[in-house]
Amino acid sequence: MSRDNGPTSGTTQQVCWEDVLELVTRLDGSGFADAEITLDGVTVRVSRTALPTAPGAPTPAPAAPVAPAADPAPAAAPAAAAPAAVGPVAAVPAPADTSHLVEVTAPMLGVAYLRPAPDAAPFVAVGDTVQADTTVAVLEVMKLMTNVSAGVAGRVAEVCVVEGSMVEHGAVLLRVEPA
Amino acid sequence: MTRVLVANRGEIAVRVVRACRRLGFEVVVAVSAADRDSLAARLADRAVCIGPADPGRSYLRPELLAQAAVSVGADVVHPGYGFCSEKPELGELLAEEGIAFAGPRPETLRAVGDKSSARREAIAADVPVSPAEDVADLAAAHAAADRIGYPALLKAVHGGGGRGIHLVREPADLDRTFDLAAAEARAGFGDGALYLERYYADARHVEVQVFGDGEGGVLVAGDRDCSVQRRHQKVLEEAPAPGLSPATRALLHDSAARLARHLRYTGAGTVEFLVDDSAGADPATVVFLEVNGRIQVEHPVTEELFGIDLVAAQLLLAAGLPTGLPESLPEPHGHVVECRVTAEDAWVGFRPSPGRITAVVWPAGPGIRVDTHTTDGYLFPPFYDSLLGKLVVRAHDRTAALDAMAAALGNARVDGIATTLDFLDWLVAQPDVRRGGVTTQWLDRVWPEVAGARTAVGAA
Repeated sequence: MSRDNGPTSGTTQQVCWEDVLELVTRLDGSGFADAEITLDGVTVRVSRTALPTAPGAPTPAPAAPVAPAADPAPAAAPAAAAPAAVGPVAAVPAPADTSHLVEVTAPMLGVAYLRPAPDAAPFVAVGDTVQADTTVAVLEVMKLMTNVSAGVAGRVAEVCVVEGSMVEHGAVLLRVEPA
Repeated sequence: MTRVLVANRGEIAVRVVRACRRLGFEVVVAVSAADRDSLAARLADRAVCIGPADPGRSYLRPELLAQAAVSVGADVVHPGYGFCSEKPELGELLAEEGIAFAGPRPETLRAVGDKSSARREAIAADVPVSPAEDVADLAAAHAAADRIGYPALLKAVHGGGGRGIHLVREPADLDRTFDLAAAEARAGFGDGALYLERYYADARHVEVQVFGDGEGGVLVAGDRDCSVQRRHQKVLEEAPAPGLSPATRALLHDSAARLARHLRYTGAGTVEFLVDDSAGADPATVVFLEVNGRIQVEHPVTEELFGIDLVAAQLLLAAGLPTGLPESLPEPHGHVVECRVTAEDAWVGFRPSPGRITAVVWPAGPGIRVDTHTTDGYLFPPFYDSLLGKLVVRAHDRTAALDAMAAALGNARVDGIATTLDFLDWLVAQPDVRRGGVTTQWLDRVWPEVAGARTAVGAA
C-alpha cells in the first residue's frame, strides 16, 4: 500500500510522518484488530486489543531493533490475540513472532523431499509431535539420499519448503515449537 | 544462453565471473556459508550456498557442486584451481548429467594425477624425466645410486601426494632408510616397491602453458619462471623465463607440446619442469616435474604477455564454441611479473592473518592488472587459502617490469590485516631477483636471515 500514497514512498524508501499517519488512518478504517507493518526498517504496530503505547510506535527510527525491543513487554500479545479476535480476516498472514520456534535447516545444498516415496504420506505435518531423531525430510545430492532429523523435540509449527525443490545450505525446512 | 556454474571461491571465482560477463554468459557462483556476500557472489547473476564454511563440507565435495550445477540448470562448470579442479569425480558426475566441465577429461586427470603415472605418460611422450631405477633391495639401491648419483630420492612406486619420499645424500643414508622406506610404503600404499630418482637440489622451476583442443591440437602459450618459492609455494612468477637459451626454450616447449598431444589434452594446462643450467650445457638439463590439469594461479602472466584470455577460452571450449585463441602465437614482446599478495605476516613465519580489511587500495595505470576478491570492509575468512590478490605488471623489458612492480607494490595498501606487501617490496629489490634465474631453494635460504635480523633489531 505504500506504492500508491505519493511521491515520498517510492523507491527512495524514506518513510515519513505523513506515510505513518495515512497508514494509521487506513488501518483505522479497516476491519483489522491488529496489524504490524514493516517498511524499510520502520515498524508500525497498531492494535485495538492490546495495551501497547500506540503513539510511541510511529517513531521513524531507522534502527530496526527499536521496535522489536518492545516485544518482551505485554505488547507481545497481538500475534497470539489476532486469531481469536478476528474471524473474517484470519487469512491475513500476520508476521507472527516465530522467535520461539526452532528452525530445522538444510545441512547442505540438495533437493528436498518431505515424504519417503512419491505416494507415501509425508514424514511430518503441521501439528505432529517430533523427537530430536525424527526424520523430517530427505535431501538428495546426486542420487544420494541424506536424512534430515528434527534435532529438537516438539511440535511441527510450519513446513517451509516445497516438495522436490532445491534448497541451499542453511535453508529453513520447517519450524518446530520446542517441547 | 549459456549458463556457467563457478565451483570455486576467492579471486579465481571473481576472475571466472568476469570472463562470463565478457562472453555474455549467465553465471551462478556456488558459495559456502562464509562466502555468501563475496565479491564473486555479488557480481554473479546468482549465488547458491552449497554447504558450511568448512571446505570439506562445501568446496571439496564434487557431488554438492554437481548437484548445484544440475539444480541451477548450468551448461558448463568452471572449477577454478585447487578444491575439485583436478578431481576426476566432478567431471564424471557432470558428464552423466550432460553438463560440460571446463577442464581436462577425467581419464586425463587420472593419468597425470599422481607423479608416477604422470612420469610414465611423460616417458611415453618422449619427454625428459629425471634418471630413476626400480630398486628391489638394498644392494640394488646402492648399484642404482652409483649410476644415478647423489643426492637422490628414494620413493614408493605406488606413493603419491608427496608422501613416502626419503632424501639420500650419501650411501650411508641408503643403509639407514631403505628398510624404513619399504615398510612405510607397505603400510601407506599397500606395496613396499621402491625406486630411486635423481634429486635436483638446486634447479629452477620453469613451466609451459598449453591449451589443447581435446583432439590432439595444442597451442603452446610460452613459459613462466616460478622459481621464487617459499616452502614450495610460488611467490613471484614471470614470463618469459629469463635467461633461457633458444635451445633450452625449444626443448621445454616441444616437450610440453608432445605430452599435451599424447594426452589429447583438453583446455588449459601446465607442464612443469625443473631446469638445471648450472653445468653450462646447452640446452640446459630439463626434467619433467608434473602436469597441472587446471587453470593456474599465475595464468595472468601468460594472458598479459600474449594478450589472450585463457579463462574465456576454457569456457568457450567447454560450451562447444570457438575458443578465440589463435592457431599459434607470435614471439612475445616485453615482460610480465606477478606477485602473490597473501594475508600473512612474513616477519613471523608467514603467520596467517585473517580478519577485517578496513580499506584496500590497489595501484592502477598502464600495464597494471590486479586480480582480487577483496574490497573495503571485507572479512578475510580464516577457512581458506591466504591469497588475497595478484598484482600483475607488464613492461617493455624485465628491468622495467620489476621497476614497475616495485612502484606498484609501493602504491598498494591493505589496512586492517597483515599482508605480504612489505615482504614483496623487499623481494623485488633483491639483486638476485633483479639478475634473474634464482633457483627454488633461494628464498628459503635467504629469507630466514633477513626476518631474523629484523626481529632481533625489534627485540633489542
